[in-house]
Amino acid sequence: MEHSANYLGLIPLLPLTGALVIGLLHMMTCTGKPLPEKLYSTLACIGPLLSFFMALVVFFHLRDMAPEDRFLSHIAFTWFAIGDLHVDMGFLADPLSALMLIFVSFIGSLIHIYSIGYMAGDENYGKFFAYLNLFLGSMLILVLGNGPVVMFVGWEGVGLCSYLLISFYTKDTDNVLAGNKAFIVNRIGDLGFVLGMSFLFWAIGSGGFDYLSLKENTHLLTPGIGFAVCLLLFVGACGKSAQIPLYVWLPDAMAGPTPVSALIHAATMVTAGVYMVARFSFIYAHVPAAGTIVAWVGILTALLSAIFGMFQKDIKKILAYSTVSQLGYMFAGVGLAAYSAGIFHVFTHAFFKALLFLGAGSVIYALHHQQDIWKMGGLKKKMPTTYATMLIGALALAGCPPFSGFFSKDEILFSALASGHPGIWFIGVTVAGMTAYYTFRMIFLVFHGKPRDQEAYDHAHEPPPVMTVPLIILAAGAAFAGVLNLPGIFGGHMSVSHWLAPSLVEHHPHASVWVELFAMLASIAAVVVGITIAYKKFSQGAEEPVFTGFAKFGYHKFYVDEIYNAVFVQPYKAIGSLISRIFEPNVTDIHVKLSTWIYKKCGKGFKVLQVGYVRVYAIYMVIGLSLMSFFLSQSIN
Amino acid sequence: MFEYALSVMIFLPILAGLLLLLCPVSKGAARAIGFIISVVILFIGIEIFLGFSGKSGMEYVEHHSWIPSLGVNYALGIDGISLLVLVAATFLFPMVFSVFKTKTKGFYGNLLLAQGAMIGAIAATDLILFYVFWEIMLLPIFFMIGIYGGEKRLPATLKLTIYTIAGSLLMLAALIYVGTSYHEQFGKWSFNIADLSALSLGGGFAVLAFLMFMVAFAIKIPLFPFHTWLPDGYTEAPTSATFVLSAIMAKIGVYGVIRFVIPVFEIEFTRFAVLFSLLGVAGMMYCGLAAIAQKDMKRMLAFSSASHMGIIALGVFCLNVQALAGSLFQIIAHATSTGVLFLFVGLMEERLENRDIDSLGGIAYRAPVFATFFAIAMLASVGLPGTSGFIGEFLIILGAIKFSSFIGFLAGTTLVIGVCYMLWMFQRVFFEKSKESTDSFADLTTGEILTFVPVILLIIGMGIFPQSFLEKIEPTAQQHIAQISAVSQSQVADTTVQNPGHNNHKN
Repeated sequence: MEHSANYLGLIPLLPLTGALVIGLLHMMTCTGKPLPEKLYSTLACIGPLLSFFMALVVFFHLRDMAPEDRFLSHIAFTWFAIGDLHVDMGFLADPLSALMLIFVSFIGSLIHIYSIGYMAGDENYGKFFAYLNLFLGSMLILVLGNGPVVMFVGWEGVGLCSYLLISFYTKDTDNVLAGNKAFIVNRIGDLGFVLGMSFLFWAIGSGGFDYLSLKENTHLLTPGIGFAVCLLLFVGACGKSAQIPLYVWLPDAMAGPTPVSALIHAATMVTAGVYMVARFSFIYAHVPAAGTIVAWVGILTALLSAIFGMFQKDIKKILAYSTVSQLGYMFAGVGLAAYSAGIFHVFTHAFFKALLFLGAGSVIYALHHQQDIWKMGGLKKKMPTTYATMLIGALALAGCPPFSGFFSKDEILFSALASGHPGIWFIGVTVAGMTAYYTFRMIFLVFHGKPRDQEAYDHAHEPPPVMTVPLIILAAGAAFAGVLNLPGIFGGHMSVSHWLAPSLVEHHPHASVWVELFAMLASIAAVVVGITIAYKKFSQGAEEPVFTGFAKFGYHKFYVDEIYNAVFVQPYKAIGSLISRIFEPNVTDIHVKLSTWIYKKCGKGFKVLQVGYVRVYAIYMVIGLSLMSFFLSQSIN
Repeated sequence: MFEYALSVMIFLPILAGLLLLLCPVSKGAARAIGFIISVVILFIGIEIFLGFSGKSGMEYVEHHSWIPSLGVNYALGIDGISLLVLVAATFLFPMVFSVFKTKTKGFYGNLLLAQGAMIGAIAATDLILFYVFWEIMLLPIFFMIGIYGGEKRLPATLKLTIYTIAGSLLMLAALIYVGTSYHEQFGKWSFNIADLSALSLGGGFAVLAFLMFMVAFAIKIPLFPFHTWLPDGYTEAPTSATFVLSAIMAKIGVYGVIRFVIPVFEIEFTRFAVLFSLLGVAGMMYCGLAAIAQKDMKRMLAFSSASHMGIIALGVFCLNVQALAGSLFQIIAHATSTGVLFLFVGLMEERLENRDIDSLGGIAYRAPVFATFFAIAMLASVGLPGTSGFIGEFLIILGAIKFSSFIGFLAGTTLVIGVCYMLWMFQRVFFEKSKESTDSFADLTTGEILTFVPVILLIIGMGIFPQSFLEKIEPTAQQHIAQISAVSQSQVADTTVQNPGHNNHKN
């Protein structure tokens, strides 16, 4: 039984309107005297805050319904309909989208507030908030869309905004190139999404192309098509959520302003792929083999990016690789049909990663855009709030009990073990140790030991409250969010999993308490080992090492970017110029050239006859007349 | 009053254009007259669009006997197939007059002639009448490029003209074949398209005639590999002529295929659909790849336009209603996005006398409004949801997947190919450091903003509310697809039961 809720459409519409108003104001005034920053920041925060408020209304509305009836929907209008294809501009709030809705709008609002301080004084202040609003609006469409096509609107929308925000400082070519890379790599993923959608439509879409109708018709899906659909959709997810082989855009995307990194790479855009797989859980549950591929790609991505993360020296790049790595965990979760565990990790990750990015932003802000961790050190005394909050974030990321990251990650690793994938589990535990190592390497180098750059250290200071208050709020979330899904072993009720249950098609593997305990202790041991090594190596003022051998290989990210450049980008350009220089003038034009040639040759051939002497023409006349009289005499006879 | 709406739309610009060419008026007055006429046409066009009921038949029909002995009629009408092409030919013209201020009287006169002839070709429902307008259409373009074009205009004009005339002659021969076949089968003359669709053709001659028609239209579209006149033609033409060529005339090629080839040659069409859809996809990829290597903005857009036309053509050959409707929708979407991009490049050219991508840079800092408008048109051209470009492209890819997964996959790569060259161009022209060449670039004036706002709104509006367009074209598209599948199925039955190639009448 569905219930209608007209206000659902307003949730994305509010930030979008904000984007339009701010964008127009900025566009019309940016070459002259800029408008006051207060105006922009006020306009920018209204939309997200109202959306968050309405997200809460949605949540309480759903909570008051019986669990199996928890659907709110609103169809704004028929978007397009041709033949069997019928796509509505419609919105659906169910437990899954409501959960996403709440934390996306909540963390989005906090990041808007934080940006008021971080972006102060920037000449494109208005433009920044217009893009930020547009981004949040697109993300909310993505989450609330009632079918794959509407989801795709938000999907491409966040892709566009990430392009705009990553290349925000457009005067520097590298930034624009990073933006282009993000957009193009995302588009490769989108190709998978569009093809997956098309196959899905021709298989089961004629009865309605929205999630609820598709779910009802899943039984019509043949395993072959289902497998293809799952993999193609996963290609889309790989693009958006930065998985192998399409992860390369995310680390470069750090070129954008730091709040953008927090918004895009923590709470919203990159989690879209995980959300999509969970959203289509009814199809993935139908084809477990595809899920296994998803899980393996995820865990291998987690491993690869953890290796990269251990050797980076740019504070934002470390966090970027940790994001890619954590996304790998999430895919391992949803791939193994532990959808609620994957989504729960999305949820906790949103808090601690937004916190870490914003904390890193405060450090960068305090040190006047210094991002190299080997030029920091000892900041703990200068920036106590930032230090304390980032420490909580780091503990959550590393997966230390009782912080939120521990519960969500452990849930994923446990389901890997319980569903009979010890390989995935083992890699997962290893990655947990590596994560703890590189996270605390960063913490120790930035905040402990002695300052490495005395001048920068002397000028460092805690940022204004508009930036620290969001940090504190996020820290509270990072510390305690895990309680929401406390497993039975600690006397909890798995509340989030129960809440999500009506939206997902999943079966919980049963395993004994001992297995659960074993999994938990193993990951705690890995974390302890990781932190200890980091403590030994970096807490007492280590100096920047010169990378050799494997470390150098890792620092250069296994030269994957260089390989892609050599294998894809350069040949692409070469083919382009080959076509326009060689093919176009010489080969493709051959039929034109050929007809010109024949024409000319014929002309030349006939030219021989046209010599210009009267006597020759007289001979032609005689021959002609003779032939005519011959034929005439023939026909008379 | 609307009884003669179509005739007015055809002959008002033609007469005005001829008058401009003959009478001594100043170029300012010529531009003003052209603008007023095009606005009048625009309003009639809007009226027709709004008044169009969207049942599958012809509306706004006009019918007069012209050459009775050969059954040639002056017959006009609009249905779901021609509606959006007509919209493209009417909605965008006022912009051309309003943007380009420095042309001469003869230029504006030719522009009006081109508009009238194009509307004639779109509205004609008689094959001979169509052919007449099709030929007239070429004349003003010939003069516009030949007289007002760039440095290398003469070779470009010559190539374009010979190319197109060659196509036209092939079409003429095929058209005579169709007419005589009709006379043979039914004992009377007619070139009315509704009559001709009752023809049942077969055998080698039918295939030949079909291919002759297709080559003529393929040259106009242009479909790979008949596109080789395009890069030079588009680049050397004055930008307003490029706009006319890419935004409207190319669409009449696609339209011709849907209107005249499909109903007459259903069987041949079905048989060759795979070949032509491959040509469409190949053209999309080939021109898209070529676009990335271009150094001249206009030339890059020329290849981009050809690339998109490949996708539009593909939609026609996929033999299902989603792809066909997608193509028809994309006709107007492409006219608003790529067409407007050409106008923007024309504006830049008037201001900077420079189109070289590498020597530009930083325009976004000088001209934020211009950069925003350009970006919106560009995003529509790469098919971002929320703009007009997405709907058409999505429907075509969806339909292509049904037709053949492989072709559908290749068609999907347009998502990636388009974005590569566009973003790279945008980066080098609008971002990065501003250079001396762009220091003096002035943003759009209020008048120019007012000119472009309607089309920018149209781009976004068509992306959000495409249904008001689609619902008008769907019935006709459905009917077309039903006709093809009925005939090709009965043909399959025929060939299995009876001798292949047997020339029997349809039941």
